[in-house]
Amino acid sequence: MLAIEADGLTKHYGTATAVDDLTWSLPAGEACAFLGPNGAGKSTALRMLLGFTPASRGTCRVLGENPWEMAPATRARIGYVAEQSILPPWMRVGALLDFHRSLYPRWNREHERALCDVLEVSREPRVSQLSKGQNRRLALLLALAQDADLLVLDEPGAGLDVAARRQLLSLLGEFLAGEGKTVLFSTHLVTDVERIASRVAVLARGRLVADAELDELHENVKSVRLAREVFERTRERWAAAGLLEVATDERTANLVVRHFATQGRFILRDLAEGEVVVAESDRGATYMGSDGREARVTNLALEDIFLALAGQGEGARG
Amino acid sequence: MRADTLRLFGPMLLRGCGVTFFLVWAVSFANRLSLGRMDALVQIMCLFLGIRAAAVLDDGITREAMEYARQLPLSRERALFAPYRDAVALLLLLVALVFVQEMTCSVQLETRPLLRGGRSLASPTALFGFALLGFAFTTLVLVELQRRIPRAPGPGKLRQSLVFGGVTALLATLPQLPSLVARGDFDLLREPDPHDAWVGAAYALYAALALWRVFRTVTLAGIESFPLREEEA
Repeated sequence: MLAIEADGLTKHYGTATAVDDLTWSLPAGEACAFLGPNGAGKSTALRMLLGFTPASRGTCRVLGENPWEMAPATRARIGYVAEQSILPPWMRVGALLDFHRSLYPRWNREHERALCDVLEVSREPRVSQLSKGQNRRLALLLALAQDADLLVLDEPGAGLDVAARRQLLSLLGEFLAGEGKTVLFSTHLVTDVERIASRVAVLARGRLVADAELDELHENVKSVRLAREVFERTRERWAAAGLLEVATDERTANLVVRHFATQGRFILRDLAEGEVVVAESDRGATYMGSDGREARVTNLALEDIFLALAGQGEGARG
Repeated sequence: MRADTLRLFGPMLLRGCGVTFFLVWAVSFANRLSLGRMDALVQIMCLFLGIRAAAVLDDGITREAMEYARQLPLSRERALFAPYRDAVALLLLLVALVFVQEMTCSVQLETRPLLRGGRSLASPTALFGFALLGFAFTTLVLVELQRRIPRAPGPGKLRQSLVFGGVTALLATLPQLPSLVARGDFDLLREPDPHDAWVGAAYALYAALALWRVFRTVTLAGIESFPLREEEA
């Protein structure tokens, strides 16, 4: 069962395209991270998925319904933590908790009390008196205590100190332990992704450039170091073929390639010259190209993968 | 009425009632002054309350407030109007004020030109009765609005406050229109009154700004084209 489905979701603001043809889905029970640099369209995509803003084109369904016309009962199954505080600043925390309790039929009073203790949320102050971190904790409390099926968080770790972030990750882990619970969150912080997400969707300039299980992403996106001549001969065609160039130096060239793992062999498909097979050699981590030249394949940290997929490695070119 | 609703919005309710009482008192005071000063006082009060209503209304249409309202398990219509609850309450309060004022004055005078200055001194009994009526009406409106629609204000802006101050003043004046017509104030042949011209120009400005504001509200409500912040472009 899919918690979220988007088909060709597009959002234009005047001549600018914030989200471009997003076709993507998230099965129920998974935790997915929207990764992307600033301006990649993450927040806009989330806002469309939550029904805060209509799509210019395309459709989406969240928990089986069109979010723009979602029934209140379905909306009560969605918890949302915004990047910036959206809670009414004039309300006292206690009043806000009481108010939300009256709106959400599955509100868990005991969980609320426990979260108040864990997150050190006091009922007395007004929302406007809370610090950014306290505000974020309150928003998280509200989202968790309503016993949602789908939790959507926009940059949940932003503005939190290390201890608070760990607490956040721990609480999200507890939430995900529940049956059928789904989490979608946007972030710049890849460390958060590795701790929570089982799936990653990378957005760059409004387009979805990767959507895979975290393990699959690690497996399929590698750095390949080739001899300079080989690289120079083929770089344009490889780039055109969707292989992502990250960096070069005087003697060798690094490529980050994706979706090229095939039955244990790494194959760079050179459109003009046929397959350049980079197969494992007898020397462990060393792979040999089909032309007999040495190629080195190494794993990448998620941060490097993110940078490569988001197209931010260009600055590293030599 | 639910207990948690009262607990939640009790302070606001008291504030609303307090404002109502103050306004009724102010109207009676203005009536006592009579001799044309009523006109200016009503204008000032309408503008003051209108600015306040506008600030609340404007608070409600920030992106944050809209997001908060939309994420709540309310129908789309209620969520869209959620941020406007207090402004609507204030507008109704203004209408109630004018209604009470008119009724109070008409107790003693069959016809009374409001804008030209009343000369009545309402009887204390009538004033108390209509004050009670206004209080009950406003209280009910506030309670009902607060029960049905959550509020979500954010930071306000002066310009937009002024705009809705105008709209509010216009609304508050609507009940006076019949008496204006009855007096023949719209007779184009009579000698122009500089005061009337000023009021007319102000209302024309208010109306123009109100139209602009309605357009902005509709676009913000999601019909389209929310101005994009730079980081989202």
